[in-house]
Amino acid sequence: MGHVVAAPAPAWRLLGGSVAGSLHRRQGRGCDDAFGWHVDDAVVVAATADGAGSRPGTSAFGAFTAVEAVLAAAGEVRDAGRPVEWLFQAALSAVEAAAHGLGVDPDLLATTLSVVVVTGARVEIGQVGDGIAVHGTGDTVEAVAVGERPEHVNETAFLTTRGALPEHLRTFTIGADAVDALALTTDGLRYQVLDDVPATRPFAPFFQAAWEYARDPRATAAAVTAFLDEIEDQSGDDKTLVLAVRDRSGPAPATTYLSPRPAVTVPGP
Amino acid sequence: MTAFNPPIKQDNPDPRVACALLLDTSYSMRGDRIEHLNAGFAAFCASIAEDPLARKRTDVAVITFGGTVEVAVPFHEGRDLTPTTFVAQGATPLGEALDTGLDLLAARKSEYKEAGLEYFRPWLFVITDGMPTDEQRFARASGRVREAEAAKEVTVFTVGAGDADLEALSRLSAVREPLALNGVRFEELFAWLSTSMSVVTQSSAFGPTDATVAATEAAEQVPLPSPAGWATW
Repeated sequence: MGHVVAAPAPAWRLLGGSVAGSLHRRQGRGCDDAFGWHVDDAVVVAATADGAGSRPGTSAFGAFTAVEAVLAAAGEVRDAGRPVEWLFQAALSAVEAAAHGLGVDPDLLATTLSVVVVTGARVEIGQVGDGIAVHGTGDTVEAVAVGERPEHVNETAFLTTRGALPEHLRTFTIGADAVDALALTTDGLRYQVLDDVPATRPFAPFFQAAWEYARDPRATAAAVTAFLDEIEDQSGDDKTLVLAVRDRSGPAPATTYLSPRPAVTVPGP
Repeated sequence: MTAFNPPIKQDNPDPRVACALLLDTSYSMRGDRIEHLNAGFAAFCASIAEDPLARKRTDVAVITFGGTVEVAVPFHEGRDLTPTTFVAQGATPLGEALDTGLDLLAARKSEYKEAGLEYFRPWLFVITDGMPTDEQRFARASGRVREAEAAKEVTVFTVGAGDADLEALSRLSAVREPLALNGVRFEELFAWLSTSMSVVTQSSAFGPTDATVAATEAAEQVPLPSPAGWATW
C-alpha cells in the first residue's frame, strides 16, 4: 500500500530499567542489555536488546548500537511502509558499521533485539532472539512475536546471525485500539515473569501490576531498577524491563531515553 | 519514591544438573576404601542438602558395580538424598555400569524436556580401584561414553583409587585425564564433588537443549575447584 499517513498517536507513558545479573556481577562483568524509547506526537518506539553472553566485552556494544539505531530512525518511521522491518534493517546496518569501525566480525556484536512501534492506527512488534514482548488490555495479557522454540535451534538467533532478517524476525501487528499496555523484557527475567517458561506464557499478575504502577504519575525508573536489583533471579542473567502504558489524560511530551553506552573490550588476536 | 513491587512467579522449577555416580563396590574395595567411600558419600549427601541452590537443582543417582550392577540410588533431588551404606563384593563390571549410567542420564534428560525443565550438562562420575572385568562390554561402553562426551551430552570425570587401571579410565574421556586418588581420601573427593555441584548450579550454563547448554557453557567457562587436595594427575 506504499506510503502510510499515520494518525496522531495517543499519549503513552514509558518507564524502564536494567540491571546486571547476579552472575555477571560475581564475574565482574557489566550489563550486556540495552534499552530505550522515542516518543513524539506521531509515534512511540521502544526497544530492548540483550548482547550475547558468549561474546563478552563486545556484545553489550552491539546491543547498545542496535537500540541506538532504532531510536535514531524512529522519527522517520511514520513514512515507512513496514516500520518494524525497516527499524530492524536500520539496527543491523548500524551494528555492521560499528563492527567495521572496531575492525571486528559483526558476530562479536551479536545481540537480540525487540522493538515495539505504536502509531495512531497500529501496534507492531518485532523480535529477533529470545526477548519477551507482551501486550495487554483489560484482562488480556499475551506474549507475542515469540522466537523459535529453543528445542529446535542450535543457538539463540541474533540480529547478526546470517539471514536473520527476515528469516528469524518474528512480527505481530494489531490495531492500536486493542492495546492499552506493552512490556518488553530480556530473557533474564523469564523465571519471574512467565507462568510457563517453555511455552512463553506470561504471568499475568506481574504485568497487570506493573502496568498499573506505570500509570501512576508518581512512578519512577529508580523504583523499577530497585525492584530488578532486589528480586532473586534464577537465571543469574541481566534483567531489563520496559513498560509502556496508554495515558488517556492527554498528549505526553516528546521524549527519548537510551541506556548508557557500555565500554568495549575487543578480544586480542 | 513509590515502591514498585509487582507479584512475580515464585514457583517456576529450577534448572537441573543430573549427576550419575558410578561407584566401584567390588571385592577389592573392602576395608578402608569402602568405609571411607561410605563416609564420603554420607558427607556429600549432607553438603548437597544444605546448599540452597544445589539442593533443588542437583539430581543424583548412584550406580554400583561390585559383582552385579545395581541402581543403588535412583535419581533423587539433592534435598531428598540420604546416605547409603555400600558393601564391597564381587568383580568389577564397569562396562555394564557405564551403559546403565548413560541410559539413566538419557532418560532423565528426556524427563526434563517433557517437563519443560532447563538443564545443565549432566555429569558421569566414575570411581574405581580396579580394572573392568567385563572387557568386551567395557570396550563398547567406553566408545559410547566418548561419543556422548563428543556430542556434549555429558561431562565425564574418572577417578582411580589404589591400583586402578588408569589407562582404561583414560579411554572414557578425550577432555579430562583420570585423576588418581591419594590414599583413601574419599571424603575429600566427595567434598570436592559437592563444591563442584554448588559451583555448577550457581552458574548460568543451562538451557533447554544440549546445543544451547554447550553454548552457554562455552561462554561462561565455569571454574571448578582444584582437586589438588585429594588427587594427583
